[in-house]
Amino acid sequence: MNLLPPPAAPPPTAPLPPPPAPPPTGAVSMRSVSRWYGDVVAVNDISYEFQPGITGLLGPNGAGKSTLLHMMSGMLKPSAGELYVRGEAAWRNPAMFRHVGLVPERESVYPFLTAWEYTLASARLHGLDDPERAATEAIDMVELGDAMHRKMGGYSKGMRQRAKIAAALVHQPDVLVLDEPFNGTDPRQRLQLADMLKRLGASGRTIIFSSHILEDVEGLADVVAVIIGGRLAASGDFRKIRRLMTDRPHSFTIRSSDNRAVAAELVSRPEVAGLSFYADSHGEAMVVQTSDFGDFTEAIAPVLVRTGVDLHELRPADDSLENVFSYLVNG
Amino acid sequence: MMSVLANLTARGVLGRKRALLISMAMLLPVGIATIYAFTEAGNDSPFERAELAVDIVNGLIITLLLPLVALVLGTAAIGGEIEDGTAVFLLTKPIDRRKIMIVKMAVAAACTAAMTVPSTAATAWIISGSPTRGGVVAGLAIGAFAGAALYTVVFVALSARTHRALVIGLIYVFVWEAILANLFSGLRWISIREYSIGWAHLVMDKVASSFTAHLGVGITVVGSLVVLVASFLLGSRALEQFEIGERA
Repeated sequence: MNLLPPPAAPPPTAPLPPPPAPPPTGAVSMRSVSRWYGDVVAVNDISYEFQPGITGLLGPNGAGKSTLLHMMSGMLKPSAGELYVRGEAAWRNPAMFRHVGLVPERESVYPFLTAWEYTLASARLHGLDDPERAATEAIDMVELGDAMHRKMGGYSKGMRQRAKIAAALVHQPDVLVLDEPFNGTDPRQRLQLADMLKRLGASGRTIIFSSHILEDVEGLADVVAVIIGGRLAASGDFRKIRRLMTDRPHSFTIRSSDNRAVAAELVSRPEVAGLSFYADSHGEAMVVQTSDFGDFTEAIAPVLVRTGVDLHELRPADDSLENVFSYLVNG
Repeated sequence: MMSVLANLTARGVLGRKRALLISMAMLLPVGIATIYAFTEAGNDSPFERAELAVDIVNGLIITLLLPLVALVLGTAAIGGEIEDGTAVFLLTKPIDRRKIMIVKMAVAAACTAAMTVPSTAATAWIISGSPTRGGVVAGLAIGAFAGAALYTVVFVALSARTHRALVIGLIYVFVWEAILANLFSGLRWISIREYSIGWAHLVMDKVASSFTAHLGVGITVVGSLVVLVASFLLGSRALEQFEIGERA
């Protein structure tokens, strides 16, 4: 006989709250970030972790790149979602600027200051221990030493851009955000700026820049984030992005000692969708369209061996950033 | 750090020939006073001269030039930087936005006072013929100083909140204070001009009916403090919530 009372039913409890989101791991972390202006959605539900190195934000004008950069630099409040820089909320957090530098697109420099005064003022406002040394290093880094004692009101657009970068770099931020940094720069300045950003990226900093110029992003960024219509359309190495676009045939250019023989071998293979020939100053070339990147790259070497031809060139013909961007934008 | 902020603000506020143009405008009442001193002053009694000094300073400086100078310099202190984009330089520094606002307000108010108080004192002194008679010079200088500080902080805060600060400031000075506050006496409680007159009367004898203090000492002091504190809080909040691209 069981004399013990039946066990009491557990008291009703409220459903458990969802577990807290894991701490952000990237230098800049976004979770479902959106920003709208009235009825216009500028940035739509983007989640992304920016890691150290150089990330290029690419997108057509009006895609939402600047809005995204301004939110991650704490100068714009997300309408929805969460945004962290080094684990701290970006919005209404001036202390964050100890680790962040922002180079806005507008030519926002005091025309009555010299670049030296401007950079030194930035160093002092950051409360650096040795502002003169920091300003000197920043000016040297952007190679503005020759003109640093001239008033910025008389600077070219490219010189103002470099002065802004010097002021943004003076405290050696871990995260540097640049909005269209190549605007107004001449070809030589572009190279200088790209070299400088590469050095900064290689030193472990997180460099995030926007551009609508494909060559700038292609030549500089380790990682590309393509923004289209306020959404993150794709991100990563753009060649890998291209390979993931399985709905579009991949193209390869082949030059060999006997293109026709190679074509005869390839034409019956299931992964080959089309073949065409063209001639240029280097001679005749063949373009192969394949529906399966992996199968084709595995099959091509045995085919070449069987035909016994000399291979002069084999390269993907449409994995440039331009192609990837075009496919993403045009759908 | 604060000295850098102050220096940038002062150079921005007084730059673009603003200092030169305002100085020239502020010489106008001094010039009128000088002409009077050399022509008419001998015919007037000391009391009439003191009364005239008050009327000229009140009509030309306290009512007209002082609020205009405060409007120009106050809106240049932060509103101008927001419009031309240079505010981003300051706002991307690890500085409490309240510190930025208080430095901006202090520097702009000091610039307005530096531009208006000497002219006020010189005009009053030349016309009244004495630096001490009836406390006119000291009273008007104190009134101008108070007006410079109060008008300027209001316009700095206003320009941090809206790009229409100049228009709103003009409406406030020339519609609210000049017309409405004269028609409806209750509105004088929220008139910086009335606070300025109230401060002037703390040390000045009653010499002219046109310069009557409508507000008591208590209301003048409390009202002035409310204006200062409210402007600071509203301006700071506007800077804390500043969003790039929302206005420019």
